[in-house]
Amino acid sequence: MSTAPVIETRNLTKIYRDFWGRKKVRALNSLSLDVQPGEVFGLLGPNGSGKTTTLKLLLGLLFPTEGQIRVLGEPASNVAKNERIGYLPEESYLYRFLNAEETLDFYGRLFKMSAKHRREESARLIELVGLGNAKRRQLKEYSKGMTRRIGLAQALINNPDLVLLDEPTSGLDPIGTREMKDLIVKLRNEGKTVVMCSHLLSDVQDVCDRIAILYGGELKVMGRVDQLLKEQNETQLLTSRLNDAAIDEIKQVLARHDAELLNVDHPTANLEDLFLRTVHESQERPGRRIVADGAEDPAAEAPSETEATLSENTEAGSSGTDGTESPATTS
Amino acid sequence: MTFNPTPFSMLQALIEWGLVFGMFLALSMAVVLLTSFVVKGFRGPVAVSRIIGSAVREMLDLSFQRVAALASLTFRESIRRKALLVFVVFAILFMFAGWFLPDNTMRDNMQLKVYISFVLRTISWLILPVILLLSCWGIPEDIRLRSLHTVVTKPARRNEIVLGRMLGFGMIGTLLLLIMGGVGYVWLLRNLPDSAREKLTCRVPIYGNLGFIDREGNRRNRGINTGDVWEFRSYIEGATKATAVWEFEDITPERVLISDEATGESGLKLESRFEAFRTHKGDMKSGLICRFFLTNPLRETIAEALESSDVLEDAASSAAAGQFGQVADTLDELAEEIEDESIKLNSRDKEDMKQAFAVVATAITPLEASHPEAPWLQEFNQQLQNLDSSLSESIESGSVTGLPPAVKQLAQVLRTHADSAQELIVDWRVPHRPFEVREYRSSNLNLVPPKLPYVRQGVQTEVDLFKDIVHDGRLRVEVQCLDQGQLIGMAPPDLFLRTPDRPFWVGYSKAIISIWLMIVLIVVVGVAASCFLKGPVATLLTVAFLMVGNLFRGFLDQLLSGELEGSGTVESVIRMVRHMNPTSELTVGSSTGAIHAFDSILIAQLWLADKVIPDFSHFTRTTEFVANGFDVPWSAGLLPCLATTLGFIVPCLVIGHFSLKLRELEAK
Repeated sequence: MSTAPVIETRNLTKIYRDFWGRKKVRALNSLSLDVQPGEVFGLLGPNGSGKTTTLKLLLGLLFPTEGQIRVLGEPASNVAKNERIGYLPEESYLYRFLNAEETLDFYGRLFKMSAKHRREESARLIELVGLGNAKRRQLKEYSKGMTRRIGLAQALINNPDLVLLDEPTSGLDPIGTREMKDLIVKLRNEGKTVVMCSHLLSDVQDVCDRIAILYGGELKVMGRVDQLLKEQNETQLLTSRLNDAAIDEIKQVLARHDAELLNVDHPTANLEDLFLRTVHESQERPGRRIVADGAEDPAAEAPSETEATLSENTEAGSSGTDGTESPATTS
Repeated sequence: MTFNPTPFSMLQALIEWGLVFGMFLALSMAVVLLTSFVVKGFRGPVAVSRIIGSAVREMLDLSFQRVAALASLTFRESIRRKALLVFVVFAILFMFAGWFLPDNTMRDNMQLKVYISFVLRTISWLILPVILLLSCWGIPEDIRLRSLHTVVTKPARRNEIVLGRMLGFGMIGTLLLLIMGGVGYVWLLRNLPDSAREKLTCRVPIYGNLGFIDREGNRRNRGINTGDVWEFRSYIEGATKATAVWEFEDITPERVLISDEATGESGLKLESRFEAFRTHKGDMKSGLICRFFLTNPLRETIAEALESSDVLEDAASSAAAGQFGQVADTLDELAEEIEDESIKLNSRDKEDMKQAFAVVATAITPLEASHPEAPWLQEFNQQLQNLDSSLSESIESGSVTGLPPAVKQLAQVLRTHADSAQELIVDWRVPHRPFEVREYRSSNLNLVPPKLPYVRQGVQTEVDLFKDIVHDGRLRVEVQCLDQGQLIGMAPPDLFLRTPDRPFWVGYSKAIISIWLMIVLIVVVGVAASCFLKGPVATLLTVAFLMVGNLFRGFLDQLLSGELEGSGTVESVIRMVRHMNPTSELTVGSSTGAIHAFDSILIAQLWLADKVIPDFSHFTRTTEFVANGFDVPWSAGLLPCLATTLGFIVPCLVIGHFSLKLRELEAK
């Protein structure tokens, strides 16, 4: 694999001007960054920090005021480089009068894929993003989550080397978010490079290898996630359950070494993991109920016929991996 | 008739297109390079050249698969956005049209004109707004909704996007047109009154060149002036030598002999629509009496040719009188004068002789084929060729040695066969039966049989139309008015030869094709405009093109050609404010020059507009042809439409490509 950066920017500056050429906003100020092949790179920042502007400069949708950009070794304005790029925009700007199959077929044709190849890839991607039951419906009838899924599918239609994702988990439920993150990791494992912009920091933390934080159009921090987040001045030990006596003894040992015990607590699971686990177990055991402290309610019975019917109806209409959604839950 | 069947010159159009497009490109480059130099110094033009170079390379890199994908997307989008709702309006109009269209009280040809015009105009007026709006709003909506962003981030070139849109909208326009055109045709056949329906046909005319002879017998380009119409139609006086002369070319029996349906006879059909102009009331119950003469003035032609040469003019009068023996004698005398150097021939004299004998050869040669019983004609033509060669050599070498023998040999042949020449080389002027020309320019149909009775020198004989009258494929028809004191008006298209009619669907299809070409033109202009303008502004620009090109183009042409009297814009305002006479000199002191200069700039801009804005009258003219019962001619009808549309495709593609390429799609 080539070691040349997939994305290189040098002193990239973007100034928006009004109709008369007067300066309005300096959206980016001398941004210099590299994205290496095969990594997942996160672009973070508050609203108006220049993340989406950076992405659009990379794609040639905007022209830099100053500086250079190279994407896959080519200038950003070179259209031919788009053969190897997939882009998921922040809002899925797709043609709403097309259905999922037609959408993927159209974009596949733009890559000059053969009809057979397009059919195969479309079918695979529709299944991958869980829209198998809605593939013949026009996109204008899709919920936001479904639109994001088809947006992702079109970004992957050409099996790109570089994938640009703008708020990829926006509008997705936790299951969809998990699947998206798994997919991003899978793409990285396949050797692809992924650049993602997101506000959802937990999602970025879960999947990104390196991040850059922008503020006011300037690069403030860039580096590997694990190294940036490491608290060098503290040490964390994970043990099995300890009694109070053991904890006291540990305090004394630490005191002898001039160290301080900062916190003793039970580690907490990830809310996302709890949600997924609950959903999974509910699907397997519909009557199971967790009480306030996390213990299982022993009085929970098998659901009555009415409850079972209601549960089935809810499951058939709700958003899940089969991609269908009831009108009430459409965003 | 309101249309002018003047053939369209493709070569001239191509040259003009090359000049205008080349100027546009050159001007654009100059402005861009200059601006970049001012802004960025020397780096500016370098960067601009690089950008333009890569844009040009990208423009030439076209994938038909991507274009087809975008065209298919556009087509599907139009269908799903209910563009076909226009059929509802179409259906309503056609369902109730019969209430308002004329019934049997009108003449058949007027009914045909109204019905056919209604169908063709309805089709174009319904389709054009739909296509115009689709074309002008497609790309701006894509940009506004950002769906174009997802396309340009794929390897789709800007020119492919533009071309794909153009093709897609063209396809939807074609579909609408095919359906409406088919329905319109069936509707015509079913709704026309029976008597009018029988006359549904496409006449295929052969037009000729028109000249005049005035009342003194002199040749003129125009007849009498009776007013403003003189620009198009001029008049001849009755019961005088005044004659209108039409000359038709490429006339062969296969081309012009048709059978008359009423009588079953075959002949040459002359159709005319002259205008009656009464200077006194006369007999109001009948029209003005006119007569055709089919002429072949061989002797006159030869005499004129000989008269045009100073050396040969002595033989002219003998040739006009048919005394070819004397012509031969004159030629012999000339040969001797050349031999003994009594006359010195310079190059000009020889050239004149060459031309004169060339006209004689042109006049005589067709007789060879039509009169095989006179083999001397072949020998005579051979001698003419020898003489022509001798003259050419003499012009080159300066020596006249070879000339006298050649002239003498020619004279010898002519002398030997003078009687035969007198019989064969005649001025034919065969009259056809008189006909009436009524007010309101009704049509007259005259069938001229291939064999015409003719009294020559008191002897009743028969003249063969194609052997004796048609000469080298040329037919000359003269028209005279026989009513004293009255005038007959004629314009070039007022008389034509009928060839076998074509079925109505042929002309109708051509009119539909011209509407299709107009649709394509609107699509091309609309899509190009939408690449750099927002939807409403692009619509306004395209509508302006349509309005000016349709309604004001004629006025613009007149203004720029100087046909209209008057001065420039600023000068006119000054004259109006000061109540100055339009013909008086403008004197406002030192500003006169500035005013004229400013007006010149405005005229230059109008000239540019005249070159840039397409002439939509080409497209509407085809409807006139079909509505008036004529086939649409290729050169005067369809070719201008095709050339106009094709001429806009490349420039609009270039404009669209560069507009999309050089703009930031994300910029608000």
